[in-house]
Amino acid sequence: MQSYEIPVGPLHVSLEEPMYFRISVEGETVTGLEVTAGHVHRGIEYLTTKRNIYQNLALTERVCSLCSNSHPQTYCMALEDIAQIAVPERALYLRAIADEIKRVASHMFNVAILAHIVGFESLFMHVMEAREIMQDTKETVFGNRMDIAANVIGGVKYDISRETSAYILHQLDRLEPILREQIRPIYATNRSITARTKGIGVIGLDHCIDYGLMGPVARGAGHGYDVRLAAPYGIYPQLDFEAVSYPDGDVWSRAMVRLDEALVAISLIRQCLAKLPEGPLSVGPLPHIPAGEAVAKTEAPRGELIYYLKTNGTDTPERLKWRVPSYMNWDVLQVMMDRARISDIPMIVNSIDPCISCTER
Amino acid sequence: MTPNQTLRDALFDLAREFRGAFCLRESQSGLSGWLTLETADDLTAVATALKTLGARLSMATAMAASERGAGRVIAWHFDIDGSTVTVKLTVPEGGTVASLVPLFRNADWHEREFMELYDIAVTGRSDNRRLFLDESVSGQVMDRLIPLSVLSNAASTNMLFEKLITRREVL
Repeated sequence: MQSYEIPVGPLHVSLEEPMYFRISVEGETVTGLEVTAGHVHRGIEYLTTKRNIYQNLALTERVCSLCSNSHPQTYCMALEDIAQIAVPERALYLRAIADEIKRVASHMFNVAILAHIVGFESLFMHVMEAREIMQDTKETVFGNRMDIAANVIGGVKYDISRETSAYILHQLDRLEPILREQIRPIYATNRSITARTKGIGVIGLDHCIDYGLMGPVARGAGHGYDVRLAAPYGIYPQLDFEAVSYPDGDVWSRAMVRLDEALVAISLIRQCLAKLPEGPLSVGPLPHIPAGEAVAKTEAPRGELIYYLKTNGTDTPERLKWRVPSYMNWDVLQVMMDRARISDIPMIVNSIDPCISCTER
Repeated sequence: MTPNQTLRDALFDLAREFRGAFCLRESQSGLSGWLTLETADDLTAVATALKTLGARLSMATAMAASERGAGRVIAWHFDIDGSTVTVKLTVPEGGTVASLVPLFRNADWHEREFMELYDIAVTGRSDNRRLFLDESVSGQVMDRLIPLSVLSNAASTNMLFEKLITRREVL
């Protein structure tokens, strides 16, 4: 069998984002993978030490668009830990609502792209059209479809009136049956989907531990770690939900985790709206942050997002560092692609829900 | 005894075995332990002990030197069932730190990143390729990088405009 090396990327029609893969193949079978990153490295971490603490709220929101709420929220949590700020309960509920709305939209985007790669264009359009319900919800509630600017240090800067709450519930009532009764069953049983995704890009529980994998990639291989449950933060301890997990570790399992988690997120939004207490939205404008250091973690759509923050009493952070779940998930592609077919490469890459702008910063 | 109490006792036992400072905080998210080692030589032993407790490496953070010749602080953040343990140490200027890749496979990218951004030497690695930055960019880039906003505020030369005008005249 003749061996070749195929360069894929950094700009390639089958890739969503600029990453360079040097793929070794024998015939149609992948035998090796080398990942070269750095095509969109922007030095944002460095910039955060040249901006003040409050400006960084806007900067961290712009690290990535799909998990744009998770970054400023986790950053705020680190600041609040250092300053010992108790976030008002209403604000904690509102943070969870914002996060879960973003999670639904993020997960649906990924599974829609899966359908596109399979060539199931009508399903792709159907999922994207259903996702528009959440995009419209974001635009109506927050005034923006991606960067929703929900967080401030010590709380939130948006509110939900009784009318807005009724509107969100109406949107969920529109989306949930489509997701539960139409979209999920197609992914679960349709031959066009299952034939291309089951048994493809397989990893095991041991890979999750070895590579430190997080999020739907790990939960799709039976590793049920979810920050909302393992290291509960905000209002999550008062909400009723369980981590979604599938045992097989293939592309299909990762997609099913995302679809089920979108349904769980809808349930969490409903719970938050039902329990939303009265009270202030934040502790007040521009709280002083003393010298200190903290680590904060949240469950972003792609998994554990961790922030380390060191302050020195001035309004400029001494060091701000974060690590997104994609960071580890890139590395495990060499396991997922081992002995895979060339035609499965885009599917496997998409299944880790890669975010290059998050990874490189 | 709750899992947190068991872990707290285990972390205090671990901290007593090494020279340095240790403090522990507790919140609804679990425990947050901070271990500052006196010497970088203890890193591998601490990481091994943490792995025995079920730790996963979450992240590594290197920091710019506070002043010339002060050495660099590196913090490794571990997760144990949701609780966080941060191990900090200072690598003296010209010194090295041991790789954690043999213990934690995912340490590879973290080490490659701080090697290229802070010019920190890591021993025991087989692959020292750059992760994000091109080989032509020298180390310590985090100490001397100029923000784009500063660059764009700075005065530019007339070279580009002169070139354009010259070409226009030629055409």
